[in-house]
Amino acid sequence: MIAVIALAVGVIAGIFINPDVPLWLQPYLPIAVIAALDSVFGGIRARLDRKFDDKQFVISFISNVLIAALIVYLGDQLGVGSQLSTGVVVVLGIRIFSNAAAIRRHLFSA
Amino acid sequence: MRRRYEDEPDKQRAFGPIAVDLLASFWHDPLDYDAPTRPGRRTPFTRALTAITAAAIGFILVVAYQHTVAAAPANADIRAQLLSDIDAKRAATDEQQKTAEQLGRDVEDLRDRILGDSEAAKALRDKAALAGLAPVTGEGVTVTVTDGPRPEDPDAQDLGRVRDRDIQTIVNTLWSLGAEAVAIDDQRLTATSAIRAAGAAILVDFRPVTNPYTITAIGPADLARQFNATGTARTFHGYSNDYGMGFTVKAADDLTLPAAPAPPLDHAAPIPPPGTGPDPSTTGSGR
Repeated sequence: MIAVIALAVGVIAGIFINPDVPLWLQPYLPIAVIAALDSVFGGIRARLDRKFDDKQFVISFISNVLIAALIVYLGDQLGVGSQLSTGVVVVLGIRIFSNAAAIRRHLFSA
Repeated sequence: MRRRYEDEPDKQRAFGPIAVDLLASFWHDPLDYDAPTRPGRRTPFTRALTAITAAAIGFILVVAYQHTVAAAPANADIRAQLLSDIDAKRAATDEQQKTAEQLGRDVEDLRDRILGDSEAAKALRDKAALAGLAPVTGEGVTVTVTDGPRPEDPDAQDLGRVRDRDIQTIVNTLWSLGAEAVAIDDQRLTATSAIRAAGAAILVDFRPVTNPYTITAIGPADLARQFNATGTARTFHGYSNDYGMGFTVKAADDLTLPAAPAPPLDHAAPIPPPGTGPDPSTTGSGR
């Protein structure tokens, strides 16, 4: 419940602060979005599995964002940034789908 | 998490090759959400951490959304701006081209009026006609080439298609046989004309010409017969037989070829004839 309220607070803060994204950060934005969505779905799933753990939620989010950003950064340096971004999106996308499937099974038993 | 799929044994079936198994294992064991069976103790501190993380996630989602929404209209604006710029410039160019042609006609009219039917006027007209800057009429030949049928397999090479090189070969052969004026699809060729390809299109002086390609040439009376005797004509008859390319050569009695637009003189300047000053006004009054 706290997490949901905090999520709403973050959304509202984003709407009101409306920060300018610096240019060097822009390539990482889509990756950050995918990692964030992945954490949200993972968290909901763990909650429904009655396995939600605060520490794991926080650490997995931060580590996912950092690793994804690191991969994209490395890719940019090597000149294959878009390919590695695609790789990150594919892997996290698979996770989002399987987590969504688990949530669906919980909520609709289907 | 693995336990869930042990309840549904069919889901755990290996798909076969290792690579596919890797994807299957991604799907069935979503990486690290192998959460501890016994959640850790929740303290106010961990709850606060979760709340901060959730707030950060919401923040990121909104910022990314706003960033994307803000970028889209800007891109569209720039694109629309460029499009209207291109249209405006093109219209301006057409307008100026028309003015230039009108002025050219005015100059010719004035020149003809002043020179009358003198020898010099005739020589001038002949030179303009030879250079492609005046319409000409005479007898010659009409060569028509058309694309052959497309191959049924879309990946196959379209060998029956007319290329810029084909047109170039025909035109060069016609010049070599003594043609004095050549036009492709009613576009007169000058000394600086270029026949080129841009993708699938053939451009003559940067204007596209389309299938069927009609090449008209004014030259000696037996130009058609001479052309048919060349290797070029034989080659194209071969293309016609092998690839279905259309190729016809017809002698024509009264051909009229249009004038080419005057080419712009960007770098070179004409040398004034001896006895005239460099000032255009004195040139005019001196005649």
